[in-house]
Amino acid sequence: MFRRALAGKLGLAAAAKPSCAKAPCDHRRRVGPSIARLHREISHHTGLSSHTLRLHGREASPHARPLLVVRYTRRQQHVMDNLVFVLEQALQEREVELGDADTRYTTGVARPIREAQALVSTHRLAVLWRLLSYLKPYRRRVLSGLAAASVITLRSLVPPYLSGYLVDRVVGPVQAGELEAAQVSTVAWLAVLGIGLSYLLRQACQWVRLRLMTVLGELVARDLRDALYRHLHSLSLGFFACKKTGSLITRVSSDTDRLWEFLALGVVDLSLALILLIGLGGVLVHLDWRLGLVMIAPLPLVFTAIHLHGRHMERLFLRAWWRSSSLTDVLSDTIPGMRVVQAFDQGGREVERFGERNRGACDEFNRIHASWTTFWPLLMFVVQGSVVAIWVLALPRLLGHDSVLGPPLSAGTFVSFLLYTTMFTAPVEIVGQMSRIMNRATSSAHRVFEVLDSRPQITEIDDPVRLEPVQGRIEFRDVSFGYDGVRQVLRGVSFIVQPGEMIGLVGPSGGGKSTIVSLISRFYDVQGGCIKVDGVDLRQLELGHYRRQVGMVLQDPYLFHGSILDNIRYGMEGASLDEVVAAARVANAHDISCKLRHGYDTVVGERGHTLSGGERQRISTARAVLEDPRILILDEATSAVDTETEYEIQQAMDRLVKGRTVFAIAHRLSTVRRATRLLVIEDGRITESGPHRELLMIEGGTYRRLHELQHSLHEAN
Amino acid sequence: MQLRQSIESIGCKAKVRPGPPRSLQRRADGRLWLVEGVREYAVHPVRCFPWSAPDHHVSLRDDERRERAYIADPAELDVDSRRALEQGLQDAGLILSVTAIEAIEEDYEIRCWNVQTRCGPRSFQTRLETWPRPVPGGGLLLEDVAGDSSGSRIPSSSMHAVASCSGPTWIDRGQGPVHR
Repeated sequence: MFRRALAGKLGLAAAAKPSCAKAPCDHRRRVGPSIARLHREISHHTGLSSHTLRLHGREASPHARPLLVVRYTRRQQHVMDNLVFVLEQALQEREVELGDADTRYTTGVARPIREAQALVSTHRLAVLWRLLSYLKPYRRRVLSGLAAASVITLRSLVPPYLSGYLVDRVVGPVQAGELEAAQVSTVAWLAVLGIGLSYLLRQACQWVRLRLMTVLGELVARDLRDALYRHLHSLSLGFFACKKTGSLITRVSSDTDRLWEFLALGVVDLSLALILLIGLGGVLVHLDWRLGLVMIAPLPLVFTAIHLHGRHMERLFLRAWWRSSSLTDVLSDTIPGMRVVQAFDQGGREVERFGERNRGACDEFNRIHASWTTFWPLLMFVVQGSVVAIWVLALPRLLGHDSVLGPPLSAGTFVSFLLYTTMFTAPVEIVGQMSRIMNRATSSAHRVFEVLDSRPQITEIDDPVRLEPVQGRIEFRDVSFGYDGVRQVLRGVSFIVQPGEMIGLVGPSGGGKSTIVSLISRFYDVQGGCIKVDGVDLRQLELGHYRRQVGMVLQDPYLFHGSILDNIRYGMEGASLDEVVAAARVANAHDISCKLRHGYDTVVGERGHTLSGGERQRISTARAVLEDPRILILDEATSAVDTETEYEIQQAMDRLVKGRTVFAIAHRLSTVRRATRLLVIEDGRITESGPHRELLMIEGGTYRRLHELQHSLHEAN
Repeated sequence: MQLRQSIESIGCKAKVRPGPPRSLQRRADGRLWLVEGVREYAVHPVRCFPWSAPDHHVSLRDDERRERAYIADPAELDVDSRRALEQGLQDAGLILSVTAIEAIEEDYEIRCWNVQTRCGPRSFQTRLETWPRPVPGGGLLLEDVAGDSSGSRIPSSSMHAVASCSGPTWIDRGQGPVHR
């Protein structure tokens, strides 16, 4: 509302959201010269709990009233930052494309909430069907398991029938003296043998079923893990920025594992339980329709109760997952940072933090157990109450009285009926149990599919351009960008870099230096303006080929678990050992490799933890050398090492940068003073630009101030 | 080759020593000596890739561990130098080769190995989570808990012995020596 009021006051069309109903849904409007005519100055004041924005007219003076004064809360700050940026651009008579701030706010700030809502709002059956589609490649195995389970089900009808037969046709007549034992002994033993064989058949089929289906569960879980991990690699960095590592690890490991129980046991058991219920219902009605109806009548009530309980359990499982995931978050946060934890002696605090979340997870899971352990005995009490009702109704008839309840009932028929009744409760129990397993599986499947359904933000156009060779001319043209789509990190940045130039990016932290290099690497796409490489829009380039032309040496070099050789060859698997040694020499990494017991074959451990920061840095540099990129990004490459190591790395860098377009981010200005040009980035804008000497001449300039500060610090040391 | 040219073109040619050293000699002191004209250095041969390419890429380093020469391929050396280098490498690279596995017992946190090597029976312990490591040249490498890798190297042909001694779970769980 505020935005519209402000826009209305300024005559901006940007807030004309309703126009979407008539025109195609494009909320983008251009603002520009019209605002520039309206006012001349924007002032922005930060208060304790609110901020004030003032727009001043042409005749701005201490006595002139501003055109507009807006006070807004911290929550609205991101939106206001955007507006201020747009207005400032307009003052400079530049045109800016406006997006729909409401939509951006919703997609950016409220994304985590919407994702949580999505988890519970997706239809459970749809998730289930999708999950079952993963069984398709294993159709034969599923059918074999189903066949084995069908035999088990059919076989279960045999013992009650033979038992009833034995009571009515053998035991009863012999005890009543109507038949001689010798006359029926063969038939009797054959019936017993039949019962024995039916149990043997059951166990054989059970073995086949378990063997096939448990393996099937593992195979599908493996397929899902593969698909999930492959998909994770196709996603943009923006996705990982808004997801916690622990949550992603849980999805790839635990969630795919939790599907096993349902796939291995649930699918077949559930379908057979339903078939068995229908079959047994028919048999019970056939044996005695009055008693049969007593057993069948409560079923709709029972299944409704199971369904409602399932919905309740689903919510409980979801909450338990969040709790459990937050537990993993603590682990993935603390274990890599154990050095810091111990250095600050915060072990106790971390244990308390973990314990708190652990108790939370435990409470949540106990809530699940409390729910189903209460529900289940109650439900079974209702089901077994039917058996008591059967006895009540059958007893007068068994005693041979004619009653309103029906004609007399033979003992054998009743024995068969009772045995079938016992069997009848088993599938009800299975349906109930499966409901719990299914809830667990669907809530896990939800989370797996949520990742699988995430679309990469960085995509390639249908017919991408392949630059061969890449020259390395980079142009930023009015580039604007914000990570959350709301707060602008870069605001109308423009510069041109010629091939072979070395550009130093300097300025205060949070100014946007790293964002610039992330955009050059196309980890993200610009939201305004464009970036051109050798005259071609970056978004039109073949992504894989382009990224192979961009090398990076980062402040915190990341080495993978594996040998030094593997790490140096990470970007070029086919490089020869000669090439590896040559690259290592350029990066001053040859000596450190040779000093290790296993040379280049030394395994460096997870993240290269067995090496020092300087050693990791040099190996990471060798990796960049081997890749031989046309565009090189050095992000604070020497900031975390001692002076001697810095000197060696600097030597390596000097060799590395020759003949390439280089962007070097540095807080230590001495490392970039040799740059062809320096760009000072502050608050998302380039405030100064030029060679080292020129920037030092700017009176009151940021670069000069930073340089003097560092110089005095050095002197003091 | 393209990379080598590229690296040379950025000014690193001087650092790469593609040519073989003048000569290598094994002298009475039992050490390997590098002779370059009038200059002589006692050197230690260091295999840069002891598992990926054990017979190539040897760095010759003096007592201060400074590289004095680099031999990409010993075939570039004359016969005497090559023989001296081979002997030096043999001295520097003692490693026990496991010919048979007698028993593997698992205990808390450690795994106890009883093996036969060419030098006779040997027993050692490895950490439970330290699996034999497949090495590029073939076979598996074991490092014991002391970090003293007598470096028993199990030939590929004995891998079935590892599997059979350690029980089926090792292989079935995908955590066997072949995978880690």
